[in-house]
Order: sequence, then C-alpha cells, then structure tokens
Amino acid sequence: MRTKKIILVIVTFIMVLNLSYAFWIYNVTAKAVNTISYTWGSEGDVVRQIQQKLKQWGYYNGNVDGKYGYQTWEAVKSFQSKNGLKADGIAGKQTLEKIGIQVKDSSQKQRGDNVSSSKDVRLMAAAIHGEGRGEPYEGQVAIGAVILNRVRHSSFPNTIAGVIYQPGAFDAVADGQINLEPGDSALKAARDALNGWDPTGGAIYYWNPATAKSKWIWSVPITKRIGKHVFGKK
Amino acid sequence: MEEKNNKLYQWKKGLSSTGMYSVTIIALAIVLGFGLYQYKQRLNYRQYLQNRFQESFYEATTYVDNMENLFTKVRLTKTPDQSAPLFAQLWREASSAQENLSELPYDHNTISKALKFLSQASDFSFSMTNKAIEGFELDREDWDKVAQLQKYAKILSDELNKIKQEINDGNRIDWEEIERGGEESLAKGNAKMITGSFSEISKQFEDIPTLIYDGPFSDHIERMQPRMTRNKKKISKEEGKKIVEEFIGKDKIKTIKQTGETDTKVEHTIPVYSYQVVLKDQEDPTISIDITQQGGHVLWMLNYTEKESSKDNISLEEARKKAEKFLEDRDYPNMKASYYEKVDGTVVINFAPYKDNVIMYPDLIKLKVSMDDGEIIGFEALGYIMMHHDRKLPEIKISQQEAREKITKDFRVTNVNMAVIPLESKREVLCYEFKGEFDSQPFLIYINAESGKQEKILQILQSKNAVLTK
Repeated sequence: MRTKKIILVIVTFIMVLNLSYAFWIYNVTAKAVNTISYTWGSEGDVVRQIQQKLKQWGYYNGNVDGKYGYQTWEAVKSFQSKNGLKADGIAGKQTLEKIGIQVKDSSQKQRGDNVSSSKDVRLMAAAIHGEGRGEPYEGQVAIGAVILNRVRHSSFPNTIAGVIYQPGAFDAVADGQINLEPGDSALKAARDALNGWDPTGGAIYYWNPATAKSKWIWSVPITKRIGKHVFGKK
Repeated sequence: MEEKNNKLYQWKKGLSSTGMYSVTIIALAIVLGFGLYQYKQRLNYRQYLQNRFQESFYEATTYVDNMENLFTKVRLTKTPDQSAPLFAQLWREASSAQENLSELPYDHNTISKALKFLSQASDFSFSMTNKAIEGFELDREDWDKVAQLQKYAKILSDELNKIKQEINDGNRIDWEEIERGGEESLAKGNAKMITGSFSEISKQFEDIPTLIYDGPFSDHIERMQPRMTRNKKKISKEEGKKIVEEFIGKDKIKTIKQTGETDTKVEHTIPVYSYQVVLKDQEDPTISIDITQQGGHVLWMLNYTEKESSKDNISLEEARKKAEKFLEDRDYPNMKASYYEKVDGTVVINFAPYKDNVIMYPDLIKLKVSMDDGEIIGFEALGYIMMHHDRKLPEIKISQQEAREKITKDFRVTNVNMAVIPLESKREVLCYEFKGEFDSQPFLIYINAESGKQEKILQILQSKNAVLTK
C-alpha cells in the first residue's frame, strides 16, 4: 500500500508539473510577431548586454553568458515590474529601451538619411531568409526575383506583401519561419532582386525536387537550377 | 480478463483506502479542463480563419456580380464621356475581386486562370478609362474585347453564385480542408459536393482568348521578343566562355565553369548559358554570369564576394567614372548615368543611352560598384537587351514652350531634356523631360512631344546616398 501511495503522489506531482509547464510555456513564448524580442532560449550579444546591465543594477546574479535562461527570465521580470512594464519576462522593444540597449533593427537602418527604392526590402529579406537560408547567394536573389515576377504577373496578387502572404504560396510563411530575423545575406539578396537582378530568367515558380509534393509542378518548364531549387515558368 | 478486472478493482480499493481517490480525480479534472481550454482556443482560431476566408469569398462574389452588370451597362454607352465613369468603376470592382479571390486558400493551379482574368479585366478597364477621358471613341476591336470580358465575367459570376447557393443551403465550405488537400479531397469527403467549383471555372477559362491592350497585364508583354537577340546567330558554349573571359578580364580568372543552359521547352524567355567564375585569389566561385545564346550578350553578372571593409574608399563620383569606363570598354558607348543608390559599401547606378540629345530610358543597364575599390560587382542588362535598337523617333509636333504650358505654373522648371520613356505597357513615347521643383521637392514631369499629353510624373528622392525616382 505504501509504495502505491508514493507512486500516486509522484504521478500527481508530475501531472501538476506538466500543467504548470504548459501554462508557463504559453506565457513565456513571444506571441506577437516581433522580431526584436528576446526570451527563453534566445542567445547572443543582445542577451549578453541584457545580462550585463541587469547584473550591474542587481537584478541578475547569474553568469553573463549570452544565454537567456531561467535566471535571466526572472531578472527581466523583476526589472519589468519595478519599471512599470508588463512583467512577462520577455525583453521586447520597450523593455530593451528601458534597459538602454540599442537594437540594430534593419528596418530602422533604412530610415533617416537613407532613401530607398522600396520599403519592402525588409519583408522581402524575411521571405528570402525563411525560404532560402543555406542556399547559395545566387539562389537567394532568385527567390526574391520570383516574388517580384509574381507581383508583375496577372495570375498573382499585385503587391509584394500580397504575393508573400498568399495562402499556400510559401512554406516559410505557413510555418512562421518568415518571422526569423533575416541575415545580412538575405538583406543583400533582397536589394539585388529589387534592383532588377533576376537569375531565374523570369521564373514564377520554384520547388525543391527532393521534397515537392505536387505532381502538377513537374509540368512547369524549367528555366534554371540553382542550389537545391528548380525554377520555372509557364 | 478476470485477473485484470481484479487488479483494477484492487487498485480502486487501494485508492479509496488511502484517500487518494479525490486527489486523482481533481488532478484528472485539471488536465481535462486544460485540454478543453486548449481545444476551445483552437476552435476559436479556426473559426476566425474560416470567417476571414468566408468574407473574402462573399466579397469576391459581390465584386464579380458588379463587374458583369457594369460590362453590360458599358456596352450600352455610345460616347467616351458616357463610358469613362463605368470603366472607372469596373477598374475598381475587378481589382477588388482579384484581391479577395487571391486571399482564398485554393492551390495556384486551380485559381490562376480566374485571377488572370480579373487582373486583365481591371487593367483593361483602366486603359479604356484613360482612352475615354482623352476623348477617343472606342473602336470596333475595343467593343469586341468588352463583349468577350462580359462573357467570362458572366461565367465566373454564375459559378461563384453556385458555390454561394451551396453555402446558403447549409453546406459550409471547409476552407481548411481546401487548403490541405485541394478541391478534390473536399469533393470526395463530402457527398453533397460543391457543384460550382473552381476547377470548373478553371476548365471554362481554358480557352479564354488572349487580350491585347495598352496596359501592364496585357498578353503582349510576355510575348515580347528581345530586340538585341532577335534573329541573331546562336553561339556555342565555348564562345560563351570567351565572352565571359572578355567581360570579366582574362587575367583575373582562374577557372570558368559552364553550369547550365535554358531548357528549350520554356517559352517567352531569353535562352542563356550560365557560367560560374573562380577568380585567381579565390578557392570557390564568386561570380555568376548569364550569356544570351543568341548574339552572345551578357544578360547579367553578379559578384557576391564578401568584402570585409565597410569603409568607402572612393567617392560616388569616382564610382560613376569607373562604371562609365567599364561600359565604354565593353562596347556600350554613350551611356549616361541617371539614378543611383548607395547601400552598405556598394552603389547601384542606372545607365541609359544618350543619343542626339535624347535619353533612351527603356534601354536600361544597371551597374553595381564596390565603394571599397571601385570594382564592378554587378551588371544587369535585361532592359537593354529587351529594348535597345536604332529608334526612328517620331516627329516633334509640340514646341518646348507649348509643352511647358501644359504644366502647372507652380512647378519651377530648372532643366529640360528630351527622353524616350517606357509606359507601363512597354509602349515607348518621346517626351520633354521637365526637371523642377514643387513645394521645394524635386520632380520630373514628362510631356509627350507628339500629343502634348502628360505621360508621367516622377518624384525624385534625394539624400546624400541616393537619387531615385518614385
């Protein structure tokens, strides 16, 4: 009887633990689509800066290791509640501002003195990064070119945002990878594409032969192969 | 079985005897509650999404209905002033229909014909609006096109209304299902299948005639033949390699690899040979370049070497000179720099031929220059290859003074040029280019030198890093 009792207590404990974990995950995950927020699992220089500052002010006792863990989360939370911010443990734009960290946001780089031919560089870069990071540079420019060829094509929406967010058009949009912070290479590729470089020969489709599910796509004549992708137009 | 029951019974007995019964039940209840909460959340999101799709569908249907009705009315008009307002409405309705339809989760193959039709209907109506506003009567061909568009608007409207009727009869469309498996899976899973389906529309639109008019979505755009490669001799891959050598500089190249060529099955594209170049101080290829199979012109080149230094070692003026020299050396004479944009240590400069005091904007070449050492790291000549030829310019019928009078007095002209500009339909017009200021902002205004029509207004965006137009 005694062992059973112990087992039961343990089982109940695990269940409660699971539950609180689920709630916690729910609360800790950044819900808003906000590319400059740091939370559990974030890594890098900005996290290091957060830790350093919070350590200086006595909120944080852990190591300045650039890894956003439990202690950092707690520290950010107590910093937030002291400063009249929503204490969610997510270091978003407001929190970072309060801490005094300038985050290099590439959409802000464009502002100010710089005029640009298109304000969609950032969105385009995000799509390129989500769809084609790991592809050769030429392949990244090519993805941008396909997006622009679609904008100019009558069978597709007529804006860059319309094309990128068209239901089912891009896997990286469907699974949210488009919300990742685009790398420098994607930003450069987006600019080259917007400036008119088109390595695809006017393609409006591309697919990965290894993973393409649609049989129909193979009826599209191929204009070019770059990296893992095949490009084509009809 | 009996033993199992026995064990379960014993377990239950054990629970009650230790008073753990209630604890377990509470724990289970919490888990169940949490699960229900999550499930409800999911249902809410799903419903929200369904509602958005449903809204887009209903709106698209309304707009298409209006289109059909407006096309009928337009056919009843006689004079341009009667037609113009109706075409203007059509332009808007068709464009809204296209927008809403493109938000539905059908796979592209199913819906593309309908989207194309709507884009063209909208674009055509815009071009007819302009024609009517200018006071021109619609000709026989225009009316034929209107009749044809009306016919297909009717087909689309009928099919959409069939689907709408199904929904009203209680057969809700499961958009999630459509997104997941395409329309067929929906038909299979559902005995009362949606009768008026998009696959049906797609079939009916299969034989839709080509539509040619003065607008960017007209069918002539895709069929345009590049002027520089038309009727030119086809070169071999080896000859292509030689052209690459000359273009980049033989002394800089370690190896050239031919990596691909355009499939002959592809229509309406410029057939090219693709090459990758490894430079002497490099291990991996850093330059991609495409050479047209006909005529052997460089279509584009991109050098994607990562340059470490982000400092600008040369001025914009020096970069422009380097670019001009590069073009001259490669037999593109009299190219004039116009707009440029500098970002992160590179500048992209636009060039157009300048001949007999006229700038030929359609024959665009773009060069990307490194601000580090002035090396040309990008070349893009699609505009040039598509459009460049010896133009026979039309006779100028409007004097510069007359053209100036077409522009508002508040515009302070600082400079006048002659230019050939491409319209959205790729039609070219000879214009006076008035550069000047309005509200202390720089603008370019183009007045047609034949008709006096104002063809385009461009705003010039200026900063220390760029001069661009919008």
